Amino acid sequence: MARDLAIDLGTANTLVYMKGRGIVLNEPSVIALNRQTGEVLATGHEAWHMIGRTPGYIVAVRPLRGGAITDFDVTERMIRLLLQRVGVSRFTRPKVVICVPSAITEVERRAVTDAARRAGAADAQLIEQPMAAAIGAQLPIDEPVGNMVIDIGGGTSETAVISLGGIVALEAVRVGSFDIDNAIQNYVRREHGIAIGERTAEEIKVAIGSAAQTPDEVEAEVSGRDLMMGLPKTVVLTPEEIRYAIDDVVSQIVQSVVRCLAKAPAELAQDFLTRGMYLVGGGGLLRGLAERIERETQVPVRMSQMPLEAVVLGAGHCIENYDALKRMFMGQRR
Amino acid sequence: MVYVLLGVVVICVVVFAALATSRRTPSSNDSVAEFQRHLNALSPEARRHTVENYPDKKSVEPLPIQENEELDDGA
Repeated sequence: MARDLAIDLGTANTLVYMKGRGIVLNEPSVIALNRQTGEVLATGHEAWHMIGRTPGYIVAVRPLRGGAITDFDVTERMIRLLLQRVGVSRFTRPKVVICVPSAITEVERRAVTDAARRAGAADAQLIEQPMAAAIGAQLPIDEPVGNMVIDIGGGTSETAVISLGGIVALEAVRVGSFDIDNAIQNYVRREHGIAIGERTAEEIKVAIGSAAQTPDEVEAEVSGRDLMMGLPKTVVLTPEEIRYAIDDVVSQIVQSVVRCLAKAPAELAQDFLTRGMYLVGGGGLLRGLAERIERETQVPVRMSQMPLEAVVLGAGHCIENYDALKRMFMGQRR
Repeated sequence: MVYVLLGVVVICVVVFAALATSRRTPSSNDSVAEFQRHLNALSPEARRHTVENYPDKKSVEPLPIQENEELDDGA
């Protein structure tokens, strides 16, 4: 008998929770393929190391962009490999709960469930990422109080107000930490005339990126290819430059939080002031982001204790209590 | 004969109405109980066990990549 699974199929990382065992897999959502034969050559960490460093016949891709499946076939193969890795075979077909962005369309929803069923799942149910995040972050969502959660992922940023086990207000934008990386890449190309890869852009973001001024800021040396000469070149970037480069993306995220606050019922407003909002997701780790949101909304912002795992833990809780929490699944609410 | 038939119809209607009413009452109780079960499953105490499983990240060693085409039967 297969153990049921919860999968956080994120744009950046994929996490798998196995019923009764906890998180059993956590790796980048990347797959490397042979361009000519279509064979899978690597997945996860191994494929991530190949990004931007492959010979012509190999392509390392992220099959999800903006939280949506951009390549159905590749996604299905990735899910199949994930299920195999955690022991699913043709004889052991588990029930699977998959976390997806709340703004997902009906077509995208069907694409995810079809991919999971074709990959070996007996039944595939979907749950909104902010709802799963709120469960995993241990917010008191069973009480009649306003719980606000901001989930900033690789391709989407979602803010939800949750009370009595249901979503009261929701706001989502298809902007996430990959857009921050892209903004850094574009800035370095435009202002310094060098081309850098997406992994280097991510490293710059982690090293000196911030959404608001922070103490002990340092500069970083970055190497890339000179666009004029075609030769390797090194430049020095300052935290102010990076803040300027990513300001547009950060503003979009902050504005979506403001819109969600405006949508929430007035009765819950005082709860936000006393309880604050909770930040989850890898994008929430950007330095100064919590302070920036707090400054612009005048509502305290707290970081979840497990920002990267909260979503899959929430979905894992739903798989542990499948029958009692059926109404959490998309399309099951009555 | 007509009175007998009318009597049977009236009895049927009364029985049917009684059954319908008796069914409705437990079903509303069921929905209350189900919602309470839903909220109980979301309580911090109920969630503690799941969250405590969090560090169990490396319990499954990744297997070598080997695509299993047999699974692709469109189940």
